[in-house]
Amino acid sequence: MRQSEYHWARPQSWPLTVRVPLIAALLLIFVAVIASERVLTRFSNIQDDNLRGVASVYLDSVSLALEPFILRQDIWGTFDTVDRARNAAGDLPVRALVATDNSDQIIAADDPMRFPTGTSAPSALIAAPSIDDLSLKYTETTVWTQKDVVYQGQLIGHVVTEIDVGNYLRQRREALWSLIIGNTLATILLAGAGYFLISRMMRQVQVLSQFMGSHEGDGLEEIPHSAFPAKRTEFASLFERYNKLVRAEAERRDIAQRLSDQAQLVSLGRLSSTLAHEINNPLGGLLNAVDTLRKFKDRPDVVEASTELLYRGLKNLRDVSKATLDFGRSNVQDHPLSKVDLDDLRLLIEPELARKNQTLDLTIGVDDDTLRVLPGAKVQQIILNLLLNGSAAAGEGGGIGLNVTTKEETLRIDVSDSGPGLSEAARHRLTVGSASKNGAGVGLRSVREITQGLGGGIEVADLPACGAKITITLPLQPKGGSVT
Amino acid sequence: MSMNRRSFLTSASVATGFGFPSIAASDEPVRFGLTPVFLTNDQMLVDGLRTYLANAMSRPVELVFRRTYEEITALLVAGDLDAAWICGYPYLRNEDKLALLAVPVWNQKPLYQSYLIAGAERDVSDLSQLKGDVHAYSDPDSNSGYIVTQSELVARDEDRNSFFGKTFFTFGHRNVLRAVASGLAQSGSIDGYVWEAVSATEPDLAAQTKVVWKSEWFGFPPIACRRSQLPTETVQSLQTALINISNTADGMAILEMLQLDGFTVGAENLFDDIRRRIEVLDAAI
Repeated sequence: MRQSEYHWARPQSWPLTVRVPLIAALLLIFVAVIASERVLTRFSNIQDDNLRGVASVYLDSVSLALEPFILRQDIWGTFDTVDRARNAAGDLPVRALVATDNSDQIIAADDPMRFPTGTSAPSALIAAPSIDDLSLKYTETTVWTQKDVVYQGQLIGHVVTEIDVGNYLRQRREALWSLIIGNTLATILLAGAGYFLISRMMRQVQVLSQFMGSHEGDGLEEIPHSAFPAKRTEFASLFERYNKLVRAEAERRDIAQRLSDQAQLVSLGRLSSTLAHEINNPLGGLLNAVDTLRKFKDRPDVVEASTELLYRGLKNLRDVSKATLDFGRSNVQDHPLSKVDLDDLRLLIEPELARKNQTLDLTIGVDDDTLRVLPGAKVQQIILNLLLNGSAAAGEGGGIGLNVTTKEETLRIDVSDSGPGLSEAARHRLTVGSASKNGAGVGLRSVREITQGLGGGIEVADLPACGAKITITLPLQPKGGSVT
Repeated sequence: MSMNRRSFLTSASVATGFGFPSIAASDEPVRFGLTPVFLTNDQMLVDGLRTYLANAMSRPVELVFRRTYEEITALLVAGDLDAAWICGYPYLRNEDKLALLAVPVWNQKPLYQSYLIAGAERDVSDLSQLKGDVHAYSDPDSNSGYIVTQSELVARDEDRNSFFGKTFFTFGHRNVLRAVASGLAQSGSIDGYVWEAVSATEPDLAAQTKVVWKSEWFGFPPIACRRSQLPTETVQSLQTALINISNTADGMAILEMLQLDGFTVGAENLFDDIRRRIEVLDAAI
């Protein structure tokens, strides 16, 4: 993993070891906020209930005491009562106590300077909620509440009180801060612990990720046992399975290589009989030439003709053996593809064609500069396999075609034959691939694997009249494959 | 009337022979009426007065409290009380039925004034400036706490019913002081003796008010009994106990709490000034 891939502004790019604990911390904060809100709401409700309870008891008794005085509009009696009631409020921090008549005129208040007798009650008093509707607000340190004074079912006045709720609000603030501090500490602690634990867990993922992303060149690398977790954990077995996968992949590559070699040998095997025939055929002529030389050694014209015949026959043998030798060697050390390699194919296939009395329609429409980017032996093997396959399909007296052209940075190889067409099994082997029984179809599998290795594609088409056409396209700037 | 404490105590002693009368103790309590109009709610004073009178008369004493002068005067006239500390006004109103038993002596005289008071911060110095006020009266049967102010308004050709914006009764002179000090009333009519006494005992409360106007001198609120009961032993022994109150330490303690010098018998013409006020008021009604 490279740090340069991360950017602070893109959280998606942050490493999992940061993101996962961060998400855990955010979730914790979310839970803490929700829980705090619930606690504070409940606490506020309890405080409201408490305030309502205390205020209700207080105003009940005050209104009862005031009833006769309000009824008589007795200013002094009302004042004396509210003044004493104000001082007898106990735990309830009463800031003001006012008695009004049923038209909201003040009869008397504990502080007559603030609420003069005979004046209309200020709107704050008139609008004061009843005790049942009383609730605290964070912005107000005092609240007003009122109670109706009823005599024989008739409303005769109100008793209105202002209560100092600073103590309640202070308790709320203290609770709020306690929750904030407590939750913050708990969240930091848990997030830190989460970060530590998840980092430890994620370290194994990091190791796996490093090894999976490390392959440059051949295959994946096994995780060494020193990098395994100390305990027998899920990650240990995951690493084990990864290593098995790496080994299996290596084996597969090994098998593929061996298969490729095998296919080459098979091709040579299939050629061997024709090669023998090709060598054997001129041998008869050459022996006849030798006999002629023996018989007519005195005739310079005969000697010259026979010598020339021997030279051409032996030269031909040398070319055939050289092409075979080159093809056999090519899997060991490859070389850049050239037109000579394509011409050699003709030499290699011609004896087989001659044996079956077949014709080859060969068109090479490319030059060496274009071809040299491709590995010679591998492309030779593809074409030879396809030609041999086409020859086998075309039968006695049939025809096969090879057309090599370029198109848009692609080498196009068309191999056609006049046979009955490609069987489904052969087509499958060529395009999809499957394990063949008894090694049959090795040639076509080899074609597919080499083509895929070179980053190329395979198309199979049935010709309009009869036979099949197989088209191989190879990129002239290979991506996946490599020349070895 | 001018009589110092020494002279009235001397005369009282002469009048009653030698100190307390030697009457047979009776279990029947002497019923003595008081109103909160005059006295504070000082329980020590009440207990002290009861104890002193009981000891002096060698009889149990029952102190009877009512909220208003009217109630106490009614009880007295009806014979439910042996004596009561009432105001000069109800005394005069029931002059035919009641007789003077004793009159308190304050600052060497059995006299007091009516005060008009207002909030200390107000810039007023006369009754005329109190027009439109919320005004606190003491009691409708109080000379200083109602009659004087009402008659003064009549004398000044003011409408006594509408001069003040709003009026109410507090049924206690000290309550008038509280009402004005708190701002419940802007001004009040109060017994001058009570205002002075509270100034001494509760200076912070009195300092929130100031005296705007003082009346002429009147006979001090008296202790009265039914005229028919005056010669009885009970009433006589009560009179003797009151007149001799300064002779004992307990009595002196009570006088100190009341801020009075003592009690005197009092002349019949002591309340003539109140009588004149009543006449002014009656003429207007």
